[in-house]
Amino acid sequence: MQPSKISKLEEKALKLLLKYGDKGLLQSELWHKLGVTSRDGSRIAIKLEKRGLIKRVKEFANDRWTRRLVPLVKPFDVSVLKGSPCPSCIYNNNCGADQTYSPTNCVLIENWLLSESLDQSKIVQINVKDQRS
Amino acid sequence: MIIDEEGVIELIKIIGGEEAVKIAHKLLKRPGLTDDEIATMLEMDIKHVRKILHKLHDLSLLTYEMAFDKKNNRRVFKWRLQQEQVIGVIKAQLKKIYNRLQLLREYFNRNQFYWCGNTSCKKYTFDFALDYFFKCPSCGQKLNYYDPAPILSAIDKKIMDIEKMLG
Repeated sequence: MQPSKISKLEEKALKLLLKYGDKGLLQSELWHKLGVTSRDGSRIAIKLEKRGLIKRVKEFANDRWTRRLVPLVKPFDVSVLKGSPCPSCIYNNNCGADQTYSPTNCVLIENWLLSESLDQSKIVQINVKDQRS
Repeated sequence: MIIDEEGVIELIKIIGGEEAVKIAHKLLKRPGLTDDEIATMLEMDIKHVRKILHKLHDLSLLTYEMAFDKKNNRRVFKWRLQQEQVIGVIKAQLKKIYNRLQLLREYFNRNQFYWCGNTSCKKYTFDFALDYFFKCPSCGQKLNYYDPAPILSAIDKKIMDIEKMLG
């Protein structure tokens, strides 16, 4: 059977949990942040656990037994591709070793790499300045 | 790994620019829009809309259903975003870039380079520069020795980033 599509509220809950990473969040805190009742909240958590997106770990907090919700998935970060000329290039499918076009002749990819390293060095310089002041 | 709507939009922006983002927002709100409808909604040239749609379709980010418009007696294409394909698309693109970077690293490690200093001109190998008497064939300026250390470190960093992403 095909799993049903993730609901907006489930997506919102997962997004929130992903912010906290491996630390996770107590379920009561999540319900509070989402603005839902504990009944609805538990249903969301169980659904997410069934999909393998989170795990519910038993924990003693605030004088009672509760569950900590820990995400099992990681957000996919597309920033590595940011500024890259390749995905939008018309030669994207014909560029590489033993192909019609070679990246060794591409000025765009060189400029992308160099501009990224320049940005990084700027950040380092700014940090050094901050520390001095 | 999971990707949210913002990630999808970010990827579309990288591939097709701001106009592709506008189209993606429309398709996220109302899947199944035709190219005509999108062009009217966004007040864009239909040819340009189709060009962007096909670009995204080539990368499997979009899919379409063909229907027959009896009123105008022609076929229409109803487009929708394939969010479940996004991670696959990103991974495929990263693998391509990764292979290209490996190739570039070898190229910059093996050769000695000469460059005119113009960002729109490429760096030439010693043999090539010698053939052109150390004059840039694109802009005509003098070719000087180019130290590839900065680009090599940039390539290494990018390769490491991609390896982390691809696991």
